[in-house]
Amino acid sequence: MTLRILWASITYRRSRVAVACLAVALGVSLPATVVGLRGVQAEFERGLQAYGANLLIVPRSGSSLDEGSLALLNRMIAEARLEAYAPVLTLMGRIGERRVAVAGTRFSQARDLYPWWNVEGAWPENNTAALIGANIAAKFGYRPGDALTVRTPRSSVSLRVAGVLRTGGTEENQIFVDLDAAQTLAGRSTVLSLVQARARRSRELPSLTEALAGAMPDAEVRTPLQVVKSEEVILGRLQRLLLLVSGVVLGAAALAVFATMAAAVLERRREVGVMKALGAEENRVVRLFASEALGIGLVGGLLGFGFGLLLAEAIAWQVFSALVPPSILSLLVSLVVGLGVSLGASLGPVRRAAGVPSVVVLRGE
Amino acid sequence: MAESIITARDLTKEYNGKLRALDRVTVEVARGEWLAIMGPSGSGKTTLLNLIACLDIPTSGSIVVDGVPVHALGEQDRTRFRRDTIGIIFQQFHLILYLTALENVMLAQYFHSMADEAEAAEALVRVGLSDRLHHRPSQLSGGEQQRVAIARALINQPKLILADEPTGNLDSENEAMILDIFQKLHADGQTILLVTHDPLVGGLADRRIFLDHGRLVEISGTDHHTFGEGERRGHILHHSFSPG
Repeated sequence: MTLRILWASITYRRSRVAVACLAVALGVSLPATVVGLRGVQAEFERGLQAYGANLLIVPRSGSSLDEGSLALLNRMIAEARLEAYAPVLTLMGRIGERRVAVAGTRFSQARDLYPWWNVEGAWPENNTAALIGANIAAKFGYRPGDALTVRTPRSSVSLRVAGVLRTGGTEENQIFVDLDAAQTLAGRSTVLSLVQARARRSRELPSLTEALAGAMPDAEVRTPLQVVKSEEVILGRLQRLLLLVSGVVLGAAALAVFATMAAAVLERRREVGVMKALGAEENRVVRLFASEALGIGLVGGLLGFGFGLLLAEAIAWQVFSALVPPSILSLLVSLVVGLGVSLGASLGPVRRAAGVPSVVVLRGE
Repeated sequence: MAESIITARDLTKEYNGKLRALDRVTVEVARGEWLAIMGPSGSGKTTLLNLIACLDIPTSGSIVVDGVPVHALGEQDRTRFRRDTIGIIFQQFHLILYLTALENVMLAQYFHSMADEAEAAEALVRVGLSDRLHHRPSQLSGGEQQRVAIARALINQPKLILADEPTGNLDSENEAMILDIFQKLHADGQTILLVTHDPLVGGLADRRIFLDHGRLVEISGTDHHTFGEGERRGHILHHSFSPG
C-alpha cells in the first residue's frame, strides 16, 4: 500500500516531482563528474609530464655514473613506475675550428622522454646520424642530409645530419649523437654524465628517489622541484576548483529541492491533516513524505550519475582524447548525495507540516 | 437509558484565553443512539464534535468515550484511540485527491492495520459505488465523494460515527441518498453523532441537542418522517428547554 500511495502521489504531481528530480540531478552531476574524472587523472598526469623529466640522476662529486648501473631503472619501467628515461653523456667537441656542445644519448629512449621535441627531418636511426640544434644548424648552415665531422682530442666521428631540432630551449645549442659515438669521442665507454627520467605518477617521486638513491650510492637523485610542484599545484587546483563548484551547485540544488518540497508540503497540509484525522501518527506521516523524498533523491541521483558521466566523458575526450569508463564509485556517490540532498531538504518542511494539529488544518487555516 | 458510550461533563474550550467556544457542556450519548448536535454558525457544534473525536483537547471538563477518559490522553494515544474507535465524516469530504475511491478507503485500513482491497471494495459496493472504485475524487460527484468518505469511516468497524455537516455541500437528491445511508447504519445499531444546522436533518435523529454561543440547550422528542424522492418534506417539533 505504501508503494501504491507513493506512486499515486508522484504521478499526480509529476511536473513538480520532475522539477525536484532535475534539481537533485543537476546538483549531483558535478560531484559525479569529479569522481568520474579520477579515471582520467592518470592521463592528466601523463599530459603534464610530457613537458619534461622530473627525475635527474647525476654522479656525486668525485664519482662517475655508469651505464651498467641502470638496471633498476629498467625494472622501474617494467613495473610501470617510470614512464621513460634517457642516459646522457655531455662533452665539448669541435666542428672545424669551432667549439660545439655535444650530447650523446639513446635516441629511442630520448624520443619517449621528450615526445614534444620538434624534429625537422627525421630522428636518427643509427650511430652515424645526428640531430643538430636549430641554432647550430643556422650557424653552420646544416640541413638534413649534410655530413659533418666532430673531433675531440681523443677521437673523431663522421656523422650525417638526420634532422634539425627545435625545442625553444638550450637543446637548440647542442648536437645530439648516439651514446656510443659520444663515448668514442670521450674515449670512455659506458660512462654517463647524467640520467634523466620521468615518473609515471608525481606522487611516487619520493619513493622512487629513495629507491634509486639506495641502489646508486655514487649518484645523487634530484627532482626538478618546480616541475613537480607545478604538477601538484595544477592537479590540486583543478580538483579543488571542481569540488568548490560542486559544493556551490550542490548547495543551489539543495535550496531548489527545499523550495520545491516546502511548497509541495504547504499545498499538502490538508492531506497531512486528513491522514492524522484518519489515525496516522505523526511519525508515520513523516515517513510517508520522507519516502517520497527518497524516491526523488533516487531518481535524481541516477539522473545525476548519467549527467555526470556524460560531462566526464566530454571533458576527458576534449582534453585527453580518452574515454572514462562508468565507475561504481561515481554511481554510489551520486546516489548517496542525491538521497542526502533530497531527504535533508524535505525533512524540515515535512516535520513542520506534520506538527500542525489536524483540527487546525481541516478548518481551512 | 441504554449504556453510555460517550459521557462529557462540563466541557469547556477556550481559544487564546478569550474566546470561549464551549461553555460547560454536559452530554451523554447511549450506545446505538443517533444524536444530532444543532445550532447556528459559531455555536460550538464542530468544537464539541472535535473534542469527542479526539482531534482536540478541552480546556477543562472530561470526556469518556467507550470507557476511556480521552481528555487525559496524549496526542499519540488520542490518534490511536481515534483510529481504533471512531469514524469521521467531514462536510468537505476530505478525500485524498490523488487516490482512487478504492485507495481512499484502503488508506484508512492502512493506518489502522493492513490494507485489504477486497474488503475496501465491498465497503464501496455497500454504499452503491461498485462502478466507481477506480475513479479519483475529481471524477466523482459530491454525493459520490461523500459516500466514499462514509465507506472510509466505516471500514475499520468503528464503535462511533461522527459526522460534521455531512450533507452541507450536497444537493437535495444527494442529501437524501446520504441520509438514507445514515438511517440504515442507525438501524444496524451504529452510534452516530451528527452535526447539522438543518432541522430537517436533525429531525431524523433519536435526539437533538442545541448549542448557542457555546452553551447547551437540549431539544428532545421530535415528530418526524423519513422522506423519499420528490416528497415534500415537513415536520413538527416539540421543544423542551434545559438551560445548560
